[in-house]
Order: sequence, then structure tokens, then C-alpha cells
Amino acid sequence: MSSPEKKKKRKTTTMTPNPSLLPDDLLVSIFARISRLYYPTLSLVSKSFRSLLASPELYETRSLLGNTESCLYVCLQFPTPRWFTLSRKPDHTLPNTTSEKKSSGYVLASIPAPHSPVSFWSGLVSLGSNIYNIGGYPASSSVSILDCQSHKWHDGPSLQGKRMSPSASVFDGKIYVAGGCKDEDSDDFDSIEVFYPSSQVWDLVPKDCYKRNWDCIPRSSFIEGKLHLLLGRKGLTYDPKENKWGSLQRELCERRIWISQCVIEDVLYCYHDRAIQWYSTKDRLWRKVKGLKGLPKFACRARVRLADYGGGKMVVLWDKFLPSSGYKNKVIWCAVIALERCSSGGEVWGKLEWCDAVLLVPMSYVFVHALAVIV
Amino acid sequence: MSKSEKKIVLKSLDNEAFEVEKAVALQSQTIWVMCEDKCVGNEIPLENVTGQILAKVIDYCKKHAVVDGDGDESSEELKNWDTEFTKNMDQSTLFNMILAANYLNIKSLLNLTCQAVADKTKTIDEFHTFLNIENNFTPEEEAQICQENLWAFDD
Repeated sequence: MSSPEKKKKRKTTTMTPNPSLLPDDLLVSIFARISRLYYPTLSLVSKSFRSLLASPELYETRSLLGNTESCLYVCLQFPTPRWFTLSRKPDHTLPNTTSEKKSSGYVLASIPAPHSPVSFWSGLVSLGSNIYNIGGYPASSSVSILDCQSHKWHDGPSLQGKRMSPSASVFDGKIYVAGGCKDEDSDDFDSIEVFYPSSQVWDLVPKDCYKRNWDCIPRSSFIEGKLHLLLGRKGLTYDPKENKWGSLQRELCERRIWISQCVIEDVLYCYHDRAIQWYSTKDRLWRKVKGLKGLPKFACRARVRLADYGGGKMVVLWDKFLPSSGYKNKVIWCAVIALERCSSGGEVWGKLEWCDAVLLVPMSYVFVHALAVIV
Repeated sequence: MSKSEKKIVLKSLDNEAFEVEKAVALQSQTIWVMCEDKCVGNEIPLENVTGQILAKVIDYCKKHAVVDGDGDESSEELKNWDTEFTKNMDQSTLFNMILAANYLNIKSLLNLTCQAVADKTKTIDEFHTFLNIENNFTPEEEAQICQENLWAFDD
């Protein structure tokens, strides 16, 4: 026996089209208007949703609507490599949760990208909607590309030489790969290769006149149009437009800077001395980012990573022990900071947008890389 | 042209008839083509739209026809009206509106309703509308998905 109210309900549901019966093109039209942050949750709904969310048509529509977004991708090793993307859980509308501390709803969601290559010894860089995994261990010339729309890996054009732990950075739509050993015992590889996506070709950058002693783990970033390279204790710059080499400012030749560094809107940032700092190439000084109200104090040995999140925003990632797990687990924390350089250029202010625990990991995990992709 | 020629009758799936100005109805590309073809009289049967939904579609077309006609309302006002129009619609009405806008080929209404569903697909409740549908994963696939996506299932 059913109550009249139930009957009424049943009647209305017969008039409700099942959303899965909406034709694919209409679902695509809806999905394209939803933030990418919700895609991991939507992809759990059904197989057909999952395949629509990875379809080229969806990303074409997003781009036509001008809805492309900057998305954070994080690579961790357990020891098999796994990729995560910053996502949002659906908002909770339960009335009882208001008294509790409100969660930001952000999480690192595992992406279904099978056969991810080991990236620990690779140069990782993003270009458009792709992540390039360059070189690796043992020294390799292979290049794998993660298409962040379909979450599938495919092979890209190989490097000219084999490299282990090269540095990779992007400037003007091209990828610059520098340094890295040929193999464990051999000499260091003393050339820079540049990748032109339009022609899909790797080319060699004309060499510097003198031979450099390249380091196994080089670091590089483009600042003000110049490739800034740290090789061991030596630093050099290369200007691809002028094809000119120079030496790195002495203040940038310290290795500690290059562990957490990132470049946002042409400004170099690093985490050092328990603070987020920025570098002014003009007066050759490191200064602390001001503001940052609400950002927790980092533990003195915290490993803090910075990444460019696009739109003048910075992602800060760090981990904390989880004592309640008997020190078996760690929690990865994430914060997003909107940066603003004041008009005089002498200060950078940061406004914390949100900060939360985003992933529980075993103690033995290894942080590989974090980078943003446009999708 | 006499006044009666400017009017047109739209008949819904459940035989509800709506008399509207031609200028209002012709925002639908589907109706426009039907009128061009002259294969229909003054009464146009719309077999895919219920009276309840058609009434809302006509409201929308009336509002937009007026504005396009004499332009005395700002686009800001129209935008606010659009927001109000979809604000209180539940998910099932919105899905029906999307289907109607698609069938009648009214691009701006299709965009508006798709955006409204997208904006609402943020809370648990709205996800449930999606989640109630059959997920067609195999049990093995489902187990693997649960394992890989523990973040989505806590709380």
C-alpha cells in the first residue's frame, strides 16, 4: 500500500527524463559548463559519463565556450608512480555539518592513467593540455606524453641524446631540455635540446664556446625571457631570441633555491628559511612574500613545493605526519595563494584563497612533481 | 497582414493549445522552418513537449521577443530575468527544458538551461540526480574504482 504522496511522487518521476537518456551532445553541453574540478566525481557516475568526460568533443566545447581552466597535477611514487589531480568533492548540504570545521572540499583525486612511466628521473613539464615526461632511468631518450583530456599516455618524438634527470622548462611554446647524464658512469651530457611542437622536432641549441661541466641534476627556469640554468655550482643563462649566453647572478647559484622553485608571471619564487620568498633580478635580493594571512607555519624540516597555478596564483604543497596513524601515514596539505606585485615592484603580497589537507599517503611515499595544465 | 495572421497556435504533446504572436514563436528555429515550409496551418503540433514545459518556453520567448523588438530593457535586466527564470526550477524541469530547447532549436535557451544544470551540479543532492542512474560498471570495475577513489566515499 502506498501513501497518496508517494503516488504523486511516482507520477512526477515518470515525466522526468533520466539524465542518462539525454543525448550525448546535450550532456557534453552541460559538462562543458561545469568546472573541471568536479570531473573526477562525475566520472564515477557511469561508464558512459566516464568516456564522455574524456572525449575530444567535450574539450572542443569547453574551448569554444572559453571555459578552459588551469588544473593542478601531482605525481607521487608508492613506489609505482601515480598521478593525481586537484578536484572538489560535491558540496555538502546536510544541515548537521555546520557546527563542525568546514572542509574546503578540495582533494587530490587519483586519475585513471594506466602505465604511467616512472618520472623520478625524468624532466617533467606541461605544455597546453599535455604533460611531457622526458628522459629517465636508465638514461633514455624517450619522451612520453600524458594527454590530460583523455588521461592516456602516448609516445612523443625521442630526444637526440639519452638523458637521466634532465631539467625541462617551457618558453614561448617550446620545451628546453638541459643536462642530465647519458648513463650512470659516463660524462655529463653537454647540450641543450629544444622541442618545437609545431614540427614535432627536437633540435640542438648552438653550444656555448667553452665546455661546461654539467651536473647530473640540473635545474632550470625561464625568467625574463632567459633560460636560467644551475649546473652543479655553476649557473648560466641563455637567451634564445638573441642566442646569447651569460652567467647566472651569484644570488641564484645556491642549490637550495632550486629545490622548491617556481616561476609565476616572470618572478622566481622559492621556499627557504620557513618562508615563501621571491627574487628581484633588478636589485638582486630575495624578499619574503608579505600577507599570507591564514597560512599555517611550516615545520622546520617541512618539504614545501611550489607550483605555478596560472592566473598569478601559486600552489603550495607540503606534508605532515599523522600521529594518529602511529606515524605510518602522512597527510599532504595544499594551499592556493593569489599573488600581487605592488606597483613600485618592491613588494609581493599573497592572499590565501584556501588551505586544506588533500590526500592521505603512506610514510614511504615520494613526492615527484606538481604542475599545472590548461584543459 | 491582418492581426490574426500574426498569431500562431502551438499544441503540446498533451493537447494543450497556446496562442502566441508569430514573432515570439519564430525564435524557435524548428517552428521557423515549419512555417517556412508552409506545410502546417496556423496550428503547430509539438509532439515532444508537454504543456507545462511549453508554457515556460513561451514565457522565455515572450520576454526575449519584447527585448529584441523595442530594446527598452537593458541586457543587464534580461540577464537578471534569465537567472530568476531558472533559479527555482528543479533538476527534472531543467532536463525537460533542455530537451525542449534542443527540439525547438532555441540556442539561447539551450545555453541558459545547460548553464543552470551545470551551476547546480555542485552539491551532493544534485549529484544524486546523476548518481541514481545505472552506472553499468562491472563489479570488478566498481571495486577498483572504489579502491582508487576513497576520497569520494568518506564522510
